[in-house]
Amino acid sequence: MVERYGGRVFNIALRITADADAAKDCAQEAFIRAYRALHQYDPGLPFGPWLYRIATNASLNYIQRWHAHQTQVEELPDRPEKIEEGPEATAVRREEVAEVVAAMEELPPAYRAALTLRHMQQLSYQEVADALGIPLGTVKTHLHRARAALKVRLAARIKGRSA
Amino acid sequence: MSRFAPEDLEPAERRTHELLASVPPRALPLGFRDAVMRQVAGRRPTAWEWVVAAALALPSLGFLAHQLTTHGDEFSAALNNVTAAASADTAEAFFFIDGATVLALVLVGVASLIAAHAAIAAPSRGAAR
Repeated sequence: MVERYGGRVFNIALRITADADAAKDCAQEAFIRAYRALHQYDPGLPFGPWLYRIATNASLNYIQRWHAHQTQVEELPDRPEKIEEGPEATAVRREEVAEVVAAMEELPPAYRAALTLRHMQQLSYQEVADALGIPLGTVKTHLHRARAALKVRLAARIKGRSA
Repeated sequence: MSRFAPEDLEPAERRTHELLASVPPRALPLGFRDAVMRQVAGRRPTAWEWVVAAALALPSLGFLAHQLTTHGDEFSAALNNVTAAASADTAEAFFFIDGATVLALVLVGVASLIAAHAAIAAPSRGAAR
């Protein structure tokens, strides 16, 4: 279980908590909880989303305990400009990834969780809903607002960098 | 676009998906798997330790209490002898203690060790949750 899902569980926790040490603790906690709750797992359902739900809950609980803060969702922005490819593409790409990660870390934990599961772990809407334990419609709303908020953050960062 | 994408990805999501899917996953920290396995292996219930400690200690303590009530004067005399011998130059101290009392004391000691282990182990297991 750890061999197969360890990386994904750790990365879910990392993106939600935005802290490598906390992510390690949350991922470990998720595996321990999953191990203890194996008898509750329905083999008819996919194992991944069940485990991701435990990892997401562990990470969100961590955030609630230690880093409780709320961020208001802002209005829809223009999409950030695409950086042109060039000879320094790798460096630019690294920088872009760092900007994306930093912008994501500014989002509320629930939005980070939804974006992580949907776009980084490639889960379907239904799987995200199962993992977060919320209705499908709420997932779509969360994701829509999360994307909007992420674009605002990214636009602000790009604007701040070019200024 | 990433090779992997949710089946139900909508056009409005594509740009965000491209951005987020391009974030490379972080490798698992070294020793992660071992740490999980240690916690799983170490998560034994401590209840049995308390039960064994109680099973050893309670009858022994009951017996010692009974001995103290019925032969309390002998105990105090023996203690006085030992105290007197310790404070004097002489190395002679007379006291009588029966085998059952010694056994009860040993059992109380063993029970204390088991209880101490359970008490020390419980918080570390709890912290791992």
